[in-house]
Amino acid sequence: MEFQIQNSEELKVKITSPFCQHCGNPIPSRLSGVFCCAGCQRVYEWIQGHQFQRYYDLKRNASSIRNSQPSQETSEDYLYLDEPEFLENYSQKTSEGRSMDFYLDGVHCAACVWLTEKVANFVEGVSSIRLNLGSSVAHVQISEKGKFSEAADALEKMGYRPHPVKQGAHEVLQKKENRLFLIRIAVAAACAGNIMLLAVSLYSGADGAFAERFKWISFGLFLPVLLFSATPFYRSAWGALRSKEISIDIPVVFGLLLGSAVSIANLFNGDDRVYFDSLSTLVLLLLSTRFALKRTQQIAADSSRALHFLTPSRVKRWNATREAYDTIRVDELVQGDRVRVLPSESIPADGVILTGDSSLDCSLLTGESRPHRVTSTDLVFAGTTNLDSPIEIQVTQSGTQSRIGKILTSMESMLSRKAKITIFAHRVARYFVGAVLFLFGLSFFISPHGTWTEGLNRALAISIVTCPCTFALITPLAFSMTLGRLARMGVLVKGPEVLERLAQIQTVFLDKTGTLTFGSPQVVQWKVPADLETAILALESLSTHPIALALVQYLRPRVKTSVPTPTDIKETQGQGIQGRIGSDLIEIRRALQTTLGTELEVLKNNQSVGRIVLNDQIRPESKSMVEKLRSIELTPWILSGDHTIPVQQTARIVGIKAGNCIAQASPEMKSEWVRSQNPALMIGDGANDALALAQASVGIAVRSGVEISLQASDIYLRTPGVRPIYEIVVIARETLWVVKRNLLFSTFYNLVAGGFALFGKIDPLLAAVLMPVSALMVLTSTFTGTRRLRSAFQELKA
Amino acid sequence: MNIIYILIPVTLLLGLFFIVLFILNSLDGQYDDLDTPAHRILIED
Repeated sequence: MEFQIQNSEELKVKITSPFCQHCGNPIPSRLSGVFCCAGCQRVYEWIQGHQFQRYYDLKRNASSIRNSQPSQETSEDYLYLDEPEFLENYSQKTSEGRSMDFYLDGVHCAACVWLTEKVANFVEGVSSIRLNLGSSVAHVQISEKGKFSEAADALEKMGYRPHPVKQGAHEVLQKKENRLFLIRIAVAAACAGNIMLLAVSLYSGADGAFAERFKWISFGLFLPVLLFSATPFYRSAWGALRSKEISIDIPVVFGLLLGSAVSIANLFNGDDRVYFDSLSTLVLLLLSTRFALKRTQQIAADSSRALHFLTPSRVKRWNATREAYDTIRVDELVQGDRVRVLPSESIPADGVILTGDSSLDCSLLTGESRPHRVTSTDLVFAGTTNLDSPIEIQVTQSGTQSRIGKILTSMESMLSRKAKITIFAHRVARYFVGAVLFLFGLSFFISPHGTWTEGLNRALAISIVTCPCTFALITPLAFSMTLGRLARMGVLVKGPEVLERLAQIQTVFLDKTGTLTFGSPQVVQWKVPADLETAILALESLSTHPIALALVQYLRPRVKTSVPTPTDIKETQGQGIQGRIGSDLIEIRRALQTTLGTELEVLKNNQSVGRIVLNDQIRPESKSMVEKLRSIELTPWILSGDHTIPVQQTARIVGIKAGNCIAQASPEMKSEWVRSQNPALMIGDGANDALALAQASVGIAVRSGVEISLQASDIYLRTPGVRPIYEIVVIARETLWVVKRNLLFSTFYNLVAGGFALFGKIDPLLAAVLMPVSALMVLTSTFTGTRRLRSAFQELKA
Repeated sequence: MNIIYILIPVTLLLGLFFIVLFILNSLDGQYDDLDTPAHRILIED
């Protein structure tokens, strides 16, 4: 790769800054340079190369709606996007050609909007791109000649990894529902505002013909609210009644209908007690908070659906009649097929090796960190990755019959059995309804004048002032605020009930490989003369072996000069690579497998000049995270499929008691352990964690894991590593506390207001004042949160 | 105070006009994306 920094003056300034030139995140202290990772450097160079420097100017001044993430180093092949079958399912025909939606990883501010929409300017055939920042979805429009793969490629080079999003019936319906909901809110707002204007003049003394007409106009304005805006509440209350569930909507609808009925009756009888203003404001407030919660949940659901998207993988199957390999889809494989698997490809099905020696990375399936040597007649399993050299396998089990397929099937059945818990606030609502009904009945009997109209009016006042505004309003609001803020920080939570379960956990199970550790080899020792660094980078960039990737990742931020092109390259699969740089013959080859990890030898003109040691390393944040978890009285465990020794070593370093380590656990054992300790939190990344993630009362999937663990989890981290776990737990607990505090307050308020109403001391004016004031108080309480909640969000942001 | 008999219908009609406008725009998809326009306005080209 040719790359030179022209302005050395500028470079000096940049080096002193401890933040990444591209993403702005802190640069790890082990690296020198101006980038935090190789991914960011690659993107930075690409942006400079295409004269899009303006991106960085825009970015400096723009406010981010979520945290900026380091760019991932990927090299995905997007050709599948152009296949007719795929286009059929994922794109729509439009007047100019076709359009497809992509979920983009990492978009966060106005500069991202500018940069992604520039794709249309330089990729031929792409007519336009519109990015929606809130949902991270880009709408890509291409002409007849255009190719989606080229647009996707450009987006990836910019550092936004694209995931195609299906525009199915569900998405179309959701869009329609959102629009309708917004219209309901608008109608309620307009009507409530006008009713309030008229109500103010009534309260301030309008009388006679004016008062009469104002009340009738209010009634006219109230009708759209009652008959159109409030319909979602009727539907959900009716649904809850029919399925005998408890829902906060039942008391809401009860209060609303009764209030309307009596107000209308009073209107016809010439009584002054009409409550159209309070009722319409109530509907408006409830609708608005519902919409906010719905949106945050939709965004979390949409992005996790997009990230679940599995690249349709292809395999090479031996065709005996043609005596050649056919490329087919994985799901077409059947028992007995002969398949060829190249290095760095994953094994598509369970089978037996026919020919070839290689080593396999089984970490996703078993949690083992060390590669496995395999040779002919050995069994291999789907989901593992071939590392060194090509192998031929004969398929014995494919699809759902394979080991990973069975895990997937039992995970799905486990998820469907996962108890649906009723949100705490809804359980409280049950007692609330009971209490209101009791007061309601009581007010009839203790009515002093003994007339039934007086009794009815008092009962109505009760149902209006105690109308569960605070109950129905604040709980969704508190949850939607927390979920929305978490989503902006890269923590996607599937629903408010997850927060409630999370606040109850006692035990935390941590997977080792890929969760506490990086899950891939990292350079731990580097004893190589500095002048050879460029040469090693030049050679290793040519290989796709995981060790080569680790070396490239280590070297790229360190090498500042241009990289030469080697000649006479010879790669021995799994052994090493050699090539000529200038006049020197450089070779990097595997020496031994020691307890330290994989040792490599560097040779210059056949003379050993250096050593490199690579091993899976514990993430730097793991130790402090475990310490913090312990400080809030949680018991951390390690639950790993790896061997006892590496598990114990990791436990010692991060500070987990040896008694709390479980090694060599199969997926089923992991799930059994979690079940015995529930309510527990499980954190993992691999396919072997999927069962435990589904079994745990809360499962958190860590970035870089496999898709099935994402499906099994309740929370998904968009950033690699376990750093935010402690903050997430604290945030869940504090949010629950805010909800409880609000419920406590509103119970108190309702007792007092209900008491007043019972003795006939509440008139429409007092009701109209009391309700917004009580709502305002809980709103303030929700927006302020608690000191610990605010500091946890601060920590998460840092 | 008889002016009120004209003013109130006028305000209500005006309100109705804006509601209808909002509904039409909403069905047109103008409010599908509630986040980006606030950011896009800062980019001038």
